[in-house]
Amino acid sequence: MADLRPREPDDASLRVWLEAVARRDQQALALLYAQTGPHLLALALRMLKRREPAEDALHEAFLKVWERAPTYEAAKGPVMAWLVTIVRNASLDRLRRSGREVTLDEAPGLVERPSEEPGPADLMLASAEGRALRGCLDELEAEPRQAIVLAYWEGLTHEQLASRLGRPVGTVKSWLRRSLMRLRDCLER
Amino acid sequence: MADADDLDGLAAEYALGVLDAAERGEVERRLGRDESFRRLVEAWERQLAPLAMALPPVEPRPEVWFRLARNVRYARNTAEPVSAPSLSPSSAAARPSGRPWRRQLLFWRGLGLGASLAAAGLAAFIVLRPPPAEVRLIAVLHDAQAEPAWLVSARPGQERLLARPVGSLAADARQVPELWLLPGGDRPPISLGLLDRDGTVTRPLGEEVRRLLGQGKALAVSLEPPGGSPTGSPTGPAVWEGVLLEEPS
Repeated sequence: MADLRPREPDDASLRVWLEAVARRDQQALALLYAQTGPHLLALALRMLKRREPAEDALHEAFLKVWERAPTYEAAKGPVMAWLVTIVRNASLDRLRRSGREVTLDEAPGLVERPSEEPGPADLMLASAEGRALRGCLDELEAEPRQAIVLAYWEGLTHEQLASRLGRPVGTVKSWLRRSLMRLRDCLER
Repeated sequence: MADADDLDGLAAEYALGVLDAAERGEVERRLGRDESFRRLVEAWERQLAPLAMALPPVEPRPEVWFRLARNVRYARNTAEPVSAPSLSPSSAAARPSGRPWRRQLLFWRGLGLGASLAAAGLAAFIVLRPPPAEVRLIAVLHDAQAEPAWLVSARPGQERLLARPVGSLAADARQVPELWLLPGGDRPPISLGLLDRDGTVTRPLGEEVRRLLGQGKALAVSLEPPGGSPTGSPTGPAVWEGVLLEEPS
């Protein structure tokens, strides 16, 4: 029987539930939502800064999950990655539509300034893929790594990143390109 | 015409989320017609996805689920709702040795669904309307063989929780069952009090716990020394577990 420590959503359970969702089982959708919703909302919230648009994005994402569940197959990768993609795209679409970055000062709902680096005890380490990515991120220099992480978490454009980091747009663009390629080379080692 | 390297870089930037609206539109159009580009983008998304797990989870408000469940219900592809026998304590008492539950469990297991879903299949179907102020949450806690052992029902509006054993449990004075709420994410289990193998117990629900209780929340029962866990965290193994679901009105 499982121990009582908090667990990562394990891919096998998520797949079972997602397959049931594809067969139009709403209880499976509830379980999938209960298990993954909080992680996915954290993503949307980090990008959109306020609860309401973030929860809207989460809601829209799960409607897409319901719709697209029959198209998911194991070859696409872990279920969590698939869900993350759907939520990020829903959030990015909203972010781009609003036309500008929401700064933290304008986001009264945020209680604390979030960190700009993955913390040492975070859940990335709970999966093999997470540990691999963390190891490869650590091989990058500090500023390019920060650019990658900020871009991913906050959905900033090149211009916004450049302004946030106090660097020219050209520098940021080439940092990102180079770092992404280095990450991939590292992951494929 | 973009060359292969450019396309790869574009795919990576799209997956990272750094493209502006116009660029995203271009990429999405290309995704629709270029299968190998789509696979490239999917590979990048997969590789970066673990970064998403580095953020601490945030509980959505209950209204988000209600809206979702309602909209899913109205979607064209909705099939028939999954129904289950009522779980009110009186009807449960009327069933000798819980046989109808066992049959339901076997049915769900045959579909290849996990024990949690089997327990969920026994409990009430999801409420699709915004709930009345007094929502009742029920969970059937089962062991690793999917044998039900505890029925828990909570009324957050009335600040109280009831728990009773199902069937007979082996008595053991040295090991006391203690009920835990698993809030999810990084948070440790919260004790909801000791249970009684011989009958129903009523437990008050503190404010923090009431806020945490809801659809889909996990419960577990561990075996502790007499008087319960001395540390405030589970010291024994989780012998039974289940998921809270809302009872339909």
